[in-house]
Amino acid sequence: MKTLDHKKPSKTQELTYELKVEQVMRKNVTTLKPDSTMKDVRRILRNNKISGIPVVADDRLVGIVTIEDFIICLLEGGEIDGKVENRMTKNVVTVYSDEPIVQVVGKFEKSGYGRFPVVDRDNKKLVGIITKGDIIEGLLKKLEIDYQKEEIHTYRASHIFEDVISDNSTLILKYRIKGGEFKKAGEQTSKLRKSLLRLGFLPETIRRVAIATFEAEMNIVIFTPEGELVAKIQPDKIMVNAIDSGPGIPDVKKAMRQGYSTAPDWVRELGFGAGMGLPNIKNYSDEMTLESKVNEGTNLNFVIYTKKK
Amino acid sequence: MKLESGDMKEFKADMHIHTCLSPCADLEMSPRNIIKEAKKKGLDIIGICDHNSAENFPAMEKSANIEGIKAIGGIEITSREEVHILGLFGNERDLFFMQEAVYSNLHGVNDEERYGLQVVVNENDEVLGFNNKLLIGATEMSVEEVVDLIHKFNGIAIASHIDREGFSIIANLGFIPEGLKLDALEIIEPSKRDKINTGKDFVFITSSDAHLINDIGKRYSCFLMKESTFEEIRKCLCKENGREVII
Amino acid sequence: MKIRDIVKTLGLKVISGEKFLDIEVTGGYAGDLLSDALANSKKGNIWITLQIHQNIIAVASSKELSGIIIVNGRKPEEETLKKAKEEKIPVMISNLLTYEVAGRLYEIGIR
Repeated sequence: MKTLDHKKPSKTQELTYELKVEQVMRKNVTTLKPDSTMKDVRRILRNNKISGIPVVADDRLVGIVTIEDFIICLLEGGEIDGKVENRMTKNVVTVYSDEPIVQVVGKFEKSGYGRFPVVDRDNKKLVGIITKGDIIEGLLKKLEIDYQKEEIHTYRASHIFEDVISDNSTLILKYRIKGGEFKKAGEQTSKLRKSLLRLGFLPETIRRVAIATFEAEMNIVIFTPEGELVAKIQPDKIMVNAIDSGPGIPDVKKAMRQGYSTAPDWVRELGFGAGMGLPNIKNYSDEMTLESKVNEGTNLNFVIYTKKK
Repeated sequence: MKLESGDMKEFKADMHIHTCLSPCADLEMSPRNIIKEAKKKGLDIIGICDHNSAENFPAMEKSANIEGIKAIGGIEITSREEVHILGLFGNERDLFFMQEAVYSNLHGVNDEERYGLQVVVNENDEVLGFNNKLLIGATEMSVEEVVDLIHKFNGIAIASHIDREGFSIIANLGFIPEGLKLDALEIIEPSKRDKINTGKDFVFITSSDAHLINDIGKRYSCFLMKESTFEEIRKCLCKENGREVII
Repeated sequence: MKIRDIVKTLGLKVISGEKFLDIEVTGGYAGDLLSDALANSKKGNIWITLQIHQNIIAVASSKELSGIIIVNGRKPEEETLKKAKEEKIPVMISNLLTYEVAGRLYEIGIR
């Protein structure tokens, strides 16, 4: 997927934040046992027209065997009756079923793999498999559904902000976020997004707010014990304040760099924290300020104007 | 009755009508049916006040405009004390800002089989979708917070059916809290208004709280004012320059 | 029985009127419609309710109730607390629900 277009996120980009792996992955995965043979591999690859098969023992993923492994086995004159466990790749890179697609897209890019087995975050059981093709298919389906829904909303609400020059009334919406609740990550942004949609803001405005807010929400979930998002909505602009009681950012300049992350390893293993997302927030907002004090917390403000200034 | 200003007229107003969006309202409460009945009953102004939502107002307004009836957008908000408060608004922006504020303080999902369908429609009575929020539930806001929010979005705050035994400010809170800035009180039996101790001198309106087509306009208030606009109604409730509410 | 004894037995959290826990409790009233509390509660009753609005203090004061137990761990509004202090009304919080609080009070002899 191409890198971010300044200030104009596409609908697809927005969806990669919103869609979770479980919504696009293939369930009903054909699996093998460690003592299955390479003959079984050949049969399944041929019959199911797939290119990789997870290997499972006691419901746990222990490896993956692919078409490449089979070819190498043939080239090396390996035994067709040999056990899969001797040919499979162990230490498989997996993704969690509740991860947003955007994380997985990044993993595909970095790893060069063609597929990731999907496991449940809690019990680590294999629940599906995901390829780039599945992501594209999932995005297309969601695009179609959303298009129809948004058409209805636009029809119903688009006139709310017509002819409004300036107005004193501000709608303030507050969202509490608990740190470490990865399963709920993104829920508050999704609420804000739905509110903006009902209020009749333009899809492009909503997209910018949603991506920037999602990044802010993720930072609170990943790095801090708790925080709050406050959205101040006016007809001409949307202001978001993300405040947390977290550890603070020691070096704000560094944090603003693409890909820089202070996320601890265990957080990265959960599939989060590839970068702090601050450059994304800056990209998609019209104004952004960040104040952070170590051991006290971070106060992030960004503004998105609904019309060109 | 004072009729000193010659340019004032009486407008028949039923400010509290539910639509098929309210789970407890009849499914026949669609824009066309409501407007047809309002016209039959000779109403000039109708208030559309569904429970904790205003999603059918755009359709109602379009239908009303065709028949020359003034529709005012409102929400019947349930406070955390389970007191019903009507918020009426002058434009859709204020109305929908209020709706979002209500939604963010309203939790739970509707059970259609138990509580009823919450149908969102267009002005042609076509179904656009179903609201899945628990609209019959109570918000997390106190009556004071509800009234303050209504005013923040330039609205008019009216305590619903204060003489009912449930969901009314007097039944639930014993009496009207001192300092609560209500703009008017809605009463079901106007003849008994003198028997209710409201603490201070409030303006009363009466309305149908219709959940069924036949009930529309069965009670209404007469607004003596210049024209059928939201701002005139506001002035009328303040008894400005001889304007008054007759019930 | 005094409020103090009830606080101890039911493990209530006292949030106002700590100095007035020696008031004698004569019977109880449970209900959330303040109009009904005004009509049917009696002097000296302890009132079990889930309402947290400031009006509960006015009702308790005018009916000379001995105290208020707020159920389900609800926290009263700031204004309520302020009024409670002014009116010297003991207000307690229980994490139990109305049914259980009423049952336990009955059990220990508040009838």
